[in-house]
Parts: sequence; C-alpha cells; structure tokens
Amino acid sequence: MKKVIAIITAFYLASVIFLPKERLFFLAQNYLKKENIYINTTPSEDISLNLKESEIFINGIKTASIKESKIYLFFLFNKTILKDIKTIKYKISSITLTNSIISPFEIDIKGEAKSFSLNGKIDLKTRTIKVYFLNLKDNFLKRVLKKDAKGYYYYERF
Amino acid sequence: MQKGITIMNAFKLFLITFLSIGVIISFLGFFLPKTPIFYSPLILKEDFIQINLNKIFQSNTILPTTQNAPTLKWLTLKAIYNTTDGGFIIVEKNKKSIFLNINDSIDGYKLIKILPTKAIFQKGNKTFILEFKKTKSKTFYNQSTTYTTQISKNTIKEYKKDLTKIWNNIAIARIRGGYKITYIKKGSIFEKIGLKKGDIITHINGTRLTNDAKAWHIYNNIEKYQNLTITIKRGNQTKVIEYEIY
Repeated sequence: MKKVIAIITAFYLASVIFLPKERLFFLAQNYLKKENIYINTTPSEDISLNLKESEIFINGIKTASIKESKIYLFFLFNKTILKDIKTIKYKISSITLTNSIISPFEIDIKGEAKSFSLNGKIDLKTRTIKVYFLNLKDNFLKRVLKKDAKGYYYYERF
Repeated sequence: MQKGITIMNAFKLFLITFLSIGVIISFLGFFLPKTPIFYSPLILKEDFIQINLNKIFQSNTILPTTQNAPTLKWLTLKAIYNTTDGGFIIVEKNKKSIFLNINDSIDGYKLIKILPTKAIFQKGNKTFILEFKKTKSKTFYNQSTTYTTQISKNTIKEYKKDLTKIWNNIAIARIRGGYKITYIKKGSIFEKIGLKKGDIITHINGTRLTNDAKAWHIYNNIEKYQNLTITIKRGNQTKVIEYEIY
C-alpha cells in the first residue's frame, strides 16, 4: 500500500514539476494559428506558466492585450489568472479560469471590470461558452448582449 | 526496524519513480515546438505614400481667383476624375477627345486645378475656367462623381475615443466586396458628410476593403491622414467622396 502511494505521488509530482509548459504553449500557438488566432507574448515558467505583455490578434485585428497571465497546471486542479486586460473598448482588471477533476469538461469563468463583473462557464462537451455580465452599467453592452431571468449574457458556440 | 526499512523502501521507490517520470517527460518535451510564433500586424503600402507631394510643392502657390474668369469656349468638358493626387479631365476639341492631367497644356493653356464640376486653366497671368455645358436633359452622366468635404481632426478624435458614439449613429454590415451601410441616423455627422443608407463602401484611400484587418488598420491610423478618399457604390453608380482633414 505504501509503495502504491509512493508511486502515485511520485508520478503526480514529477508530472507537475517536469511538465514542459513553455513548449506546450508553443504547441497551442501552432494550433491557434490554424484558426487565425495569434498570441504575441514573452513566456517563462516556474511552477506556473507566466506570460507577460500578451497581445491577441484574431483575423489580423488586435483584439486584446493582457498585461500578465499565470497558468497553473496541476492536472487535478488547473487555474489561469489574467490581469489588466484591454480590449478595443473595455478594460477588465482580472479574469480567472478554473477547472478541476470534479468537472473535467467545464471551465469556470470569473472576472471584474469597472462597469460589470463576469460569471460564466465554458462547456468543452457541448463546445459552448456562456458568460453573464452582472451589475452591468454599460448601455452599449445592454443592447448587444442577450437577456434572460438571470441577467445579460454572452453566448457562443465554438 | 522493519517499519523503518519499509518506509526507506517506499522513499527509494518514490525517488526512482519521480526521477524516471521526470526524464521521460523531459524527453517527450523535445518533440514539442521549441520556438514561439510571432504575428506581425499588417502594414499597408499606403502608409508610405501618405506624403502628398502635390501639397508640399504647391503649398506656396496661391491659386488665382476664378471669379469672373473667362471660359474656354472652343473646348468642351466631357468628364472629370478628381483624386487626392490630382486626377484628370477629358475635353473635346474638334470632335476629338483629349485626356489632360494636372500641369498638362492644350494650346498654351495649362491645367492647374480640378474641381468637382470645373477645371481651371492658366495662360501667362490669366485664369480661365472650363465647366460642364448645361444641358436640357435632367440625366447627367459622370464617369466618376467626386465630392470633397472638410472634416476636422478634433471631430475624428472625438468619435474615435467613443465607439458608442459611432455605433449610435451608423450601422454597417460586412458584405462581399465591402461594407454596406444599413442604418444612418438622421442629422448625424455621417449623413452630413455625404453617406447614405444602402451605400457600399468598397475602398478607402485606394485600399480595397477585402477584410476586417484592413478596415481596422485604417480606423486605428485615421488621425495620421490628411485626406481620406472613400469609394462607394450607390445604386449603379460609383462615387468617390473626398475628405480633407484639417
């Protein structure tokens, strides 16, 4: 029993520590390139993958810039923290994406901005994203977003 | 004692497994891409031809007054094509059509300026005008109809800062060949500068709007332009609207 625990623990710790996070990021860049999505950034890794001063281009248009990103890959629990996101019109102070082994096909989204806060989910099984904009004060977004009993939301299939 | 040996053995097993897995994962990492992908944003050729040489060389030239200027009766103005860098006209002399660019001469009369509905010639110190002949027919055909409007940089900056201001006054939809104006608010600045619902914007400053990236590039750099030429399709006609940014 102790041997089994030792092997499993060693396997888990080694996977987390030795995982080539930077190279996996480059692999993700190659995949996104096919969808015409590019991320210009400077990666570095320690216990997490750190991306500084990232710029996201979609179909040739600079869609967003992110000052700092930290991606924690622990297999049982994964977390991505994005700070100081600037889009064409809005500034979002932070977005957190979390995923755990309890719901492996769901990614929770939480975010904060001046005129709204975000709360949503990415469903990898149904390939949908649904994000609610809570405490929404921006009139332009109110016209653009859909609305249900919970409030204004953004919904997309990918 | 036996417990100690068991714990030692477990620890050794942990260490061996840990290092083995580490080596295997590091080895597998060699098969992954080693370098990042960087995207270079689009640079349009027009960024290098924004310097209007005509304006620089003509900046000290004071155009002569055309008020009460005589007309060239022996020439007939057939067409005007006006662009940011000058354009050309077509005149008819003795039933023959002649193309004239800016600074071209005909019978000693030099073409110095092209306006939307007339051309200005100069001979010596005198100025002459050539206009379209008035016809009885209501229909008026022009190869290319050009309008010039002035718009201030401050107005452009104001709208650029606030996208909501733009989207409250105009709506466009991407279609094949350009962008179609689906809505223009009455009395808005977009109506005042000559745009209409149903217009299809095909080119801006000679750049064909084949994708969103080109349109966004122009939008993001709009403050750098001194002139903007928008080509639109209105019904069956192609129109060129020229904006001078002051």
